[in-house]
Amino acid sequence: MIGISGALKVRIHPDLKSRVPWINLPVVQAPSPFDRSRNISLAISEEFIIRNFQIKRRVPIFQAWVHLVGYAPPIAGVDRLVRDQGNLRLWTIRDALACFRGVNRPYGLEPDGSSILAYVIRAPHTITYEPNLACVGKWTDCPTSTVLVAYVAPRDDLANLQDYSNKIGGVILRWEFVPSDASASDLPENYGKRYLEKLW
Amino acid sequence: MPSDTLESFLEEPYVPVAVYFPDSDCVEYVKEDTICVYDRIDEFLTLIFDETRLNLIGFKFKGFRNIFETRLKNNFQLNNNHFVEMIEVLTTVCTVIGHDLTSNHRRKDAYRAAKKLAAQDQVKLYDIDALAA
Repeated sequence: MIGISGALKVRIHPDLKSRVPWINLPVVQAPSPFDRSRNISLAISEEFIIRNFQIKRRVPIFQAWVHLVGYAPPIAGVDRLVRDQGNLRLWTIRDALACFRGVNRPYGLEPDGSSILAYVIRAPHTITYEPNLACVGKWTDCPTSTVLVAYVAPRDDLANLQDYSNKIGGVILRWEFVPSDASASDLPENYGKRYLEKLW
Repeated sequence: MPSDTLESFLEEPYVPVAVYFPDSDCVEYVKEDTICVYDRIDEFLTLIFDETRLNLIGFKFKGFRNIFETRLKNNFQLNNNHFVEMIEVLTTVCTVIGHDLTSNHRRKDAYRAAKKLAAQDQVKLYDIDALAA
């Protein structure tokens, strides 16, 4: 089983010295929707990154580095950011608490987005953009009563996410803080109606 | 045209504009580069609040391609294929939803709030050449 006890200790990406390209974020490992104990490989939507990059929207890209890739974003002063983490607990998609299928809205040719997956990540702390002399990133508390959800579209077919080689099985389209459910605070609000099926 | 260097990305001010994300087929407008909370209203609309969850700072419109193709493309061409007014998008969806909107107060209030924001900030969507082709 994928445990939820191993909060991420953020590190500096090994490619930082060679200037990591912001637009090509590394491939991410996440638990398979079909077998939580096995990992699959997912790409992060290049389009989402590029478009946010162009309008200088930094927060979602910083969040992708921390909560999807599992590294501190490659920014000046990143050493300071790593030092400042202290005992803050940061979680990634590898530690997802739950995985749902189907988003109950049209997606491509699907009337109900039935192939879209929603990975739920607990989020006590996150990163934000806050420029100061030392660094433009800063750790902060997550919004109260929210969870982080990463939406994944399989490449071609949902069945491809049963391929446990390193082949990329899907794309992480976007990631969002959403209100948590009143009766199950680790899950999104109205999760029973919001998604078609809970996979785990 | 914004420059795309890492330095400009990290140092220049955020540009609050509506953006279409083809991968997820949605248009998003956020007025601040901050931590956001996404509150799903229905299959079309999500309201975006700041981290206090009190202040509305944006909206996400989902399933944009279909609405654009079936209801908005003609007006877009009248604008010389230059932009779509987001207030027009939201008004069009309200028409599609019809009676359901009057019977559901949360939904009705949410659309009203999104339309108000779109009007106040004069939110336009540019850069949708791929859709318009």
